[in-house]
Amino acid sequence: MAGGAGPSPGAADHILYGNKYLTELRHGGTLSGEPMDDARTQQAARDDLQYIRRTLAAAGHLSIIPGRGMAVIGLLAIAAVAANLRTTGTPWAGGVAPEPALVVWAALLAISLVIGIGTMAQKARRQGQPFWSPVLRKALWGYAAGMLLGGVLTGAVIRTEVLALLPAVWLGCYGAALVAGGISSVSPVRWMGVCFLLLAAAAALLPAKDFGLPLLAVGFGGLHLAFGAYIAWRHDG
Amino acid sequence: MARNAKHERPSPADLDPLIHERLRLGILSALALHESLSFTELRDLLETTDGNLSVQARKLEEAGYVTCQKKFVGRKPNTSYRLTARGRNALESYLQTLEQMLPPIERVRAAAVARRGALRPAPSES
Repeated sequence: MAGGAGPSPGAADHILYGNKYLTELRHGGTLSGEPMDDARTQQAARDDLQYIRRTLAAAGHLSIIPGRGMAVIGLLAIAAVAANLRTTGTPWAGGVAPEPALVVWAALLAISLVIGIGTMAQKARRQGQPFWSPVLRKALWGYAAGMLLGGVLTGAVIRTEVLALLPAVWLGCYGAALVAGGISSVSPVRWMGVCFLLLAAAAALLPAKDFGLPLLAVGFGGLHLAFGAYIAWRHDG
Repeated sequence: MARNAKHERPSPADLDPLIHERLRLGILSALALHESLSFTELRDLLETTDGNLSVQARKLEEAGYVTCQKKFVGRKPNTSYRLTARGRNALESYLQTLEQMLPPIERVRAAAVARRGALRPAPSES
């Protein structure tokens, strides 16, 4: 080992390099060609490997979130709100059958899934990245849990006919899905989830009759549009 | 890179100094996993500044370890980086040297990191 041995050829480069950038490395190793004992060398090597591991894990973050697709979903959500307002009435409005209004939101969910998956695949292709990657599967686990819970709770709310809870359930479960799925994705996804959770809290406190539809418009319409545009601008499409 | 006497473990002086800087090591490690990463993605991933990333990436580019492609997407400039075969070889060699610095019992884990870094096929030089 290097202990006791003189600097090897190329050591001068290391010393210059070390002086220029980091005389003392964050990981406690050294860049200089000065003699190091076995233990220090091994620790520096361990720290470097640890850094590489962390970088590889972080590089596995999902970066193919489709901002433009998200913005399109926002526009469709505003259209769904308009359809509820003008044609079907809201699911929680008394005196009208809730089924047509629920069908509008179910259709929005289905179309949004198709758009989301399609634009994500498109972005992956454009960036030369694999679509069905381990990181996408990891993100889907987090996302699916919140969405499934939303489905279960929606069923329970419809069965027990307390439809005024629907805005809070939808906003809350979608927000939780985004926060969980967003852990392995770019940070705006998590922040959008947090905003949905705040809207869910508002929906739980305010009467659905007056605030349900506006909160859904702000959430599924406004947040998708705003965060979609930001992601498209900041994260290449 | 120079090596110590035969049968001895390599010393830190045997590590490629161009890769040994943290940010440059991070750039190569990230590119080993992805065919291509944009400047924005690398900056966010490595939590660094535009200026720092630009300087370090240019050093790697000058050494032929990465290639840089600048294009316009609409009116927006888009810079993306790819690992070259030379860069991949340099990273693998760096990992092997690190691995040899460790006691034999730890080499298995280090080798696993090296394998992960080499998951994707080496890109063609451009």
